[in-house]
Amino acid sequence: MNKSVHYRAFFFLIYLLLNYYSAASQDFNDNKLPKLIFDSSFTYNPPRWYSGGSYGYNLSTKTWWYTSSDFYYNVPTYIYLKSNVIQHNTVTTSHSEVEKLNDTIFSLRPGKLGNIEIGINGHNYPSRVITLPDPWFFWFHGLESQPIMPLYRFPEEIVGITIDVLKSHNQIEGRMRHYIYPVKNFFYSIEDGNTLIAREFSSTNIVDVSQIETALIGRKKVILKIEIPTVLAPDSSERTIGSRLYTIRVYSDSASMLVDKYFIDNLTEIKIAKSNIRIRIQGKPTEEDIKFLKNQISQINPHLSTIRIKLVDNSPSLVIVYSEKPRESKRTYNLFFPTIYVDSLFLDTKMGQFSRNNSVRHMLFETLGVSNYEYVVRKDLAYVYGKQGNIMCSREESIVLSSVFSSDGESVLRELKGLPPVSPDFSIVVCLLIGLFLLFITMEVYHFYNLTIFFRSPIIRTALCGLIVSQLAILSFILYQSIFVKGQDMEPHILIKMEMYFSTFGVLSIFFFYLIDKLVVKVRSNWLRLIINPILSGLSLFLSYLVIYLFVRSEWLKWITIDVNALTIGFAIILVRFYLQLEDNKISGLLMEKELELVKQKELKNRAELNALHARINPHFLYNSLNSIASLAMIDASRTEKMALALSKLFRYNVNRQSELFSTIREELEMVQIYLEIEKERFGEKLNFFLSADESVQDKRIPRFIIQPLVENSIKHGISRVVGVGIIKVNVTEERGNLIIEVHDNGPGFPDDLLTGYGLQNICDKIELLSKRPYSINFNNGDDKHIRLEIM
Amino acid sequence: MPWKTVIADDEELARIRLKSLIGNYPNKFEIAGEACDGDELRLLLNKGNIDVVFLDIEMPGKDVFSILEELKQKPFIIFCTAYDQYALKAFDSLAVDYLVKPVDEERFSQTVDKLNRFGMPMDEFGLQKVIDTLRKMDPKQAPTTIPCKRGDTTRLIKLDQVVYFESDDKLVFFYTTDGQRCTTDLSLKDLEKKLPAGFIRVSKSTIVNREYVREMHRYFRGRMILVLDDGQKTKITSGASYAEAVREAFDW
Repeated sequence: MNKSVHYRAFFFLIYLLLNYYSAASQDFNDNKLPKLIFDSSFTYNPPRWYSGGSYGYNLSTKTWWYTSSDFYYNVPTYIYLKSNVIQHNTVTTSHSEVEKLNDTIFSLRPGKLGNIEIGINGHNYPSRVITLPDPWFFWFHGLESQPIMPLYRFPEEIVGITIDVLKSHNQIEGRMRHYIYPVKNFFYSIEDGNTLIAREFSSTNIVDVSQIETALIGRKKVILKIEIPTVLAPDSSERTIGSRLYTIRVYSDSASMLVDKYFIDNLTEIKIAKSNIRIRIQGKPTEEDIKFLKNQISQINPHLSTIRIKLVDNSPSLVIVYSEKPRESKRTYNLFFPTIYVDSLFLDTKMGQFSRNNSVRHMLFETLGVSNYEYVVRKDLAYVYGKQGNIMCSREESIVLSSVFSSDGESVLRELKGLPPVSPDFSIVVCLLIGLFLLFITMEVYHFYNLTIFFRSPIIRTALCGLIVSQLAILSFILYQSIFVKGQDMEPHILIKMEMYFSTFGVLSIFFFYLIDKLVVKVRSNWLRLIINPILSGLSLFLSYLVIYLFVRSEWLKWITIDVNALTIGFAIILVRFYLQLEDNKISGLLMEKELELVKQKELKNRAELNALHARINPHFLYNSLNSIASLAMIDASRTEKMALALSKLFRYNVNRQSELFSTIREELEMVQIYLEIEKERFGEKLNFFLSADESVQDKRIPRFIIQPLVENSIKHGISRVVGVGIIKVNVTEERGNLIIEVHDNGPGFPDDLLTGYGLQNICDKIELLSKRPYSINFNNGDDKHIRLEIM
Repeated sequence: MPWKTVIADDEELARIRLKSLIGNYPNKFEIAGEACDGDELRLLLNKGNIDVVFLDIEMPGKDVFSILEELKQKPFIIFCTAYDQYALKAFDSLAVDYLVKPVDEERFSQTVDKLNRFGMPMDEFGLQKVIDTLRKMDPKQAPTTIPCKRGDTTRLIKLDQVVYFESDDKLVFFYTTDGQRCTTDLSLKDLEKKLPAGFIRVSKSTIVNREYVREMHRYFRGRMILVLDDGQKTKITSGASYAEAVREAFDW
């Protein structure tokens, strides 16, 4: 296939793409920005029954642990831990004791059989009974199996504990039903995310725990799946339990378990913050607001080892606006990297302090990328109802934060969630490469079709160049997004925005650059140019930026919105232009030298040419004349004498005055006279000549040896072919200030063909080199055949 | 028997000089005639029986070399020239000779010796070689000007001011640097032959002066667009069949 067809197809594709964007723009509404898909990795789970803390089983100590910070303040609370072995009853009434209870880890050693119950009871609040299953038993509720514990032995009988949950939030009614089924002969498998590690058949009711332990080596989490065939309840022959799959997750350490539990199960992309969170406070916060925010930051920061939360004035990534006229929180996208944005949180100062604090706390966790409804929002509720003070990070939260924001936090999280390991971020490089590739193709197309010839106007070319560059930037961004960022789509409105920003910016700034280049050329000093160019370039970049804000975004440009990225790009552009100017200076310096050299060479050449021209008094003529003299000597002594003298005069005129470039008409005509006399001697009676010149032109100066070659031509091509008497007339006159030299002869006419012979060329060269005045040579082939040289 | 001799020179004094030199050898030469231009020479030679010709190569009229080439029976030729033709020294051994003006007696006697030595008929191959060499040395130069007719007067225009030639139906125009348009009676085919090397045929209807090609652009199907430096930036599209020639001419 022809190469050009590919190019055409390529551009057609771009055309289609652009059409798509413009179509998509019709239902685009700036006020209701649809939430970006790649931004929505955290969806809120619908509120479910609250399990009331974390619990797990410690393999090494063979104990259960339980922790919660769900103890309410100033609410009479008692905790009872009931098992066969340990009874732990606590009744609290005072504030401080409850605080102590919060985040305490209770280690509970279960009995041989039965469950551990944790009861939390408070005045006005429903008592909660959390039942921890004995590791010997399964514990499940509803059809969902709870991922809770490592299991080393499958019980002989399934003891099913079902807690029926009424979906209303504040009424939890637990009914417990016990079914006992005999279970034997089942399959169990050990999986790691998606890969199967082992699948075994157990003819008894025992799962080999060593397999799990082996599988855990080098892993944070394995999943044990038990496929239980249909069983029949022994106590009631009518009851059957269908075949079921029980999933039990086993973790290598408690931090992993907490992290895994903290993030929802169907997590597709991890979006934890990777760079410092820079918070700017705007509006009118109360002292309490600031105190709270600072307190939260100081609480969270110690747990973070990869990033920091900071309060800043410039280039924030999160803006918290305390104002009386609250607006919807919004997201402002970066002009050049639409994946970079600044979130603004608007807080109503009329709102209560608590809810404001809750919102701030929630926003902090969301910005960190670890927001979880159950762990953050519930906390807020607790706060609202509870203590009048600062919300402390719960033990869970601190464990999650410190393990997620450690050096290998993300990879651990990815492993736990079965996501592929993160690849190093070469986005900018890839983007740049794509852009360069596109630029290369465009240049190829440009050269192939030779577009320069169609766009002669530099202004159109400049605008076109700006458009092309901006389109390429967008195109490379789109390509990068669609090829390398999986599962994240560009929303049409972002592309439209990019289109608007980039094309305006590209065309404007390149047009400015064009003007600057025109201006800078006029500056003489190299150094000044080197300084002026970057300054003006920076200024024009800023202007283009301003124009985008004013006319495209229709808002005023504030200093604070010029972020680091824009500055970086601007700086890079200025640097490139500085470099180009530097190169340009070098080249122009070289050119200057070259030019001087050329001028010198040309002068030398002119000199040499002139010398050559003067040397061209025909040696042929000399030898021929001498031959004639030799011949005459035998015949006529006086004619011989005359001719020899004439010849010597002619050569004296020629040779002695070679350094003179000009002579008067009078001298020239004298010379022609001598020349013609010699010729007459040679041709005998055949030649007659008449020379005349106006008195006014006699003393005019013309380049030497101009008339003689004309006369020589007349003899060579005219008189020598005349049968009979040849007549030559030379007239020098002046017409309207122009000098006119006419040479008439009665020979055959000038040919229409191209004219050969250096006579004419010689004359032209002399006039051009010496007098540098316009001139023309005409001839007339009519009755009065003549050649006419006019020097203006 | 003396050699029948023709003296061809346009200048009477030169003929006299040769005649007087020949007069020193009355037994050797018998003057059969004198010619003062090419036509006379041809008439004399066509009569036949000419043994020796003293020939001035810068003689006007019909090209003397072609007259010689036309001859079936070639006489012994002695070229006379005002130039000191060093190159002719190479032919000393051949049955040709040359005399440099002004002619002296001593040199002339050598010529007679040579005639005696070689005798007739003359070596045709050698003659042709000499003619070829002389033709090449002809001081005639490449054409420099072209006439541009306007009514009675004809202006002479230097070829290096001609930007390009263009044929339109039967007429051939050429355009000068100052934007003038002139006609010429010559066809493009003739022009292509006669013009110096700086002129390049780029299409069926155009000849371009290389000096004035400012830009070249690739165009479809191997053709090219030439932008000329004539003030109007005239664009000329080269012909597909001339593409190779154009490329070669511009080293492109």
